[in-house]
Amino acid sequence: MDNYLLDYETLGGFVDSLMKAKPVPAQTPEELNTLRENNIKRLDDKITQAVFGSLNDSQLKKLNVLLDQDDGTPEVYEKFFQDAGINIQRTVASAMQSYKEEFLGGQYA
Amino acid sequence: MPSGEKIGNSDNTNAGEMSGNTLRQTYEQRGELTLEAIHAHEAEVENLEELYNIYDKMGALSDEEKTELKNNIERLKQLNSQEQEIFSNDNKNQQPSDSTPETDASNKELTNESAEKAKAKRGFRRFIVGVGVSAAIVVIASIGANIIKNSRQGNEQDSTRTEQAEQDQDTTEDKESIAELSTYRGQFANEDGTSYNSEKGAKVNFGEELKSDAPEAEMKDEMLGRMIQPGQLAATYFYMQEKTSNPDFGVEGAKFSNPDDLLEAMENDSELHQKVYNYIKDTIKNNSLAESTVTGTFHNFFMDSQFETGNIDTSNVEVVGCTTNEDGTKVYSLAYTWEDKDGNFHMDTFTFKEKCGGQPLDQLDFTTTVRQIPSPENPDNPDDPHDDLKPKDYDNMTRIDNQILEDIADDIGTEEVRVTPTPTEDVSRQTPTQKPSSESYQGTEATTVVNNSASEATPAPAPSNPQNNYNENRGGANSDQYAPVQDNQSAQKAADQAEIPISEAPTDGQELEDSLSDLGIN
Repeated sequence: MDNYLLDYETLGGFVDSLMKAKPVPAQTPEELNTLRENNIKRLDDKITQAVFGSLNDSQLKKLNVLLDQDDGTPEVYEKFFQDAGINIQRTVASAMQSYKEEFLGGQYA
Repeated sequence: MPSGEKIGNSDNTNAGEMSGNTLRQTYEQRGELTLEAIHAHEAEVENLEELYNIYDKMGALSDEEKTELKNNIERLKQLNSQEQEIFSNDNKNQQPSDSTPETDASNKELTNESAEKAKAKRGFRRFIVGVGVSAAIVVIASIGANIIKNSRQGNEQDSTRTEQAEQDQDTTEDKESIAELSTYRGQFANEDGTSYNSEKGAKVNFGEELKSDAPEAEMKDEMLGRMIQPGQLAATYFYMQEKTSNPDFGVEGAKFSNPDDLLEAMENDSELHQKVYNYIKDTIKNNSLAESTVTGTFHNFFMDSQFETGNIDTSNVEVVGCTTNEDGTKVYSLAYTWEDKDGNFHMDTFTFKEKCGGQPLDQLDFTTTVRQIPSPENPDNPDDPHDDLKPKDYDNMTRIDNQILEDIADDIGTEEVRVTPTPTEDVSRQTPTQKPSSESYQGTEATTVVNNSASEATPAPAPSNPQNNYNENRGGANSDQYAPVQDNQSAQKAADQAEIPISEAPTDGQELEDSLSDLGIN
């Protein structure tokens, strides 16, 4: 299993779209792949930071308890974020949108 | 927010004078300062910005309208920011005491711990993948175009489609796996509960401040109407595309200049999915296809897969972009998600262009990107069972590339030939031409003759026309090496008149005979 919060294909597809919109200055396929991987990791980090950074200490502790139980279904986590007053979808989309703007702005080229 | 801090920059509603407390009281009085209300307000502003961008690109806004809309958007943004700050402060006050800035380090540690745990938990990943895919669709689709729409929504005139949407919703609910990822179906456009899930003509709430003139509501209605058509056309096109590739269908080419032909063909097509049939029929009924002709050659691998499962209908095609080119053509971008037989979820985006100015399509192009995304049952999904989902002429593309390279080589030669020729040892491009410099070459000096004599000028001597006299040595180059020509014309003349035979010459012709003999001439 990869060490990403989101799945690799979604992250890769997202980054590919960005790189298609704004080609990166890679000289070789290897360099291009390295840039792609870096962007995937960076994007996932940003999403991770957005998701968990939206929770306060108390909420994080509750989430840790949930995670420790290891019987969490998607609905459990969905309800958790709802109860926490966090629109997780908007949070993730905002992180992606922010990354997109940074990328297209040349920040990660 | 510090009390008394000014917000807003508009003079219209005195927003700039409104303090945080006043704003909070206002919302509390209205009972709207909730998280949902805040999110709804944010969505309103985002939608407004999207519409502004589209209309700005279309050149549909005057400078005055641009300024007004920009001001409104900016003002709403600031109000939303204030709302969030107030809500956040209020929320913090209700948080346990350990949620303070002093516990940042602890918070960070907890965050990392949660993140690492979450990455390893299947349930959480299934949850976050669904969210992430949905977000990715929206954000990716916004590249190059800035509007999110769901073509399923908004056509109150089409009861068939409404029923179809309800049926599709039922189907969705029946599928647990789809339900787990239900967020991918246009939820972004609808979560504010106000705008895009409203039917065409329904009231659109853009907030208290904009209700007075509300031009945006009209804009949104109009855009909604615009967005429906591409979805219809896309479905029709898909159908044509599919059938064009089937020679048994009995329709030559991809031309349906008469909509009745298409309808008849559809009715005779037992394989056509009922949803698609209804949809295209409605399209034709609405005259969207009147006098239209679709031409061109397209990749149909996409449709092959879609018709296999009957996935294609209006409910899962989202129009996500609309831009107008300089030549007047409009390019629509659509996003589309579907589930294949193996339960894998796919996310496709494609674009097509419409000839500006009309319902009739002149030509459609589309490109599509097929991306397989993990299913809830298989979030990692390392295998791609659809490697064969490639353009049918994929190999052709490679061949074309190779042919182009060969043509280039034929035209301008190989790289070795194309390099600059090496100069010879004696001559090079750097060898300067030897010519006098401006300093060394002075030229001839002009002589000015001025007649300043008071006396009458002496007439110039008449030009002489002497006969050539070759006996005279007039000098010149090498004149001393040659004797003057003895031109005894009188003697020659006398000899000519005498006409003495050669045999009677003083030497009796012997001298000439000898010369001819020496030359081998007898």
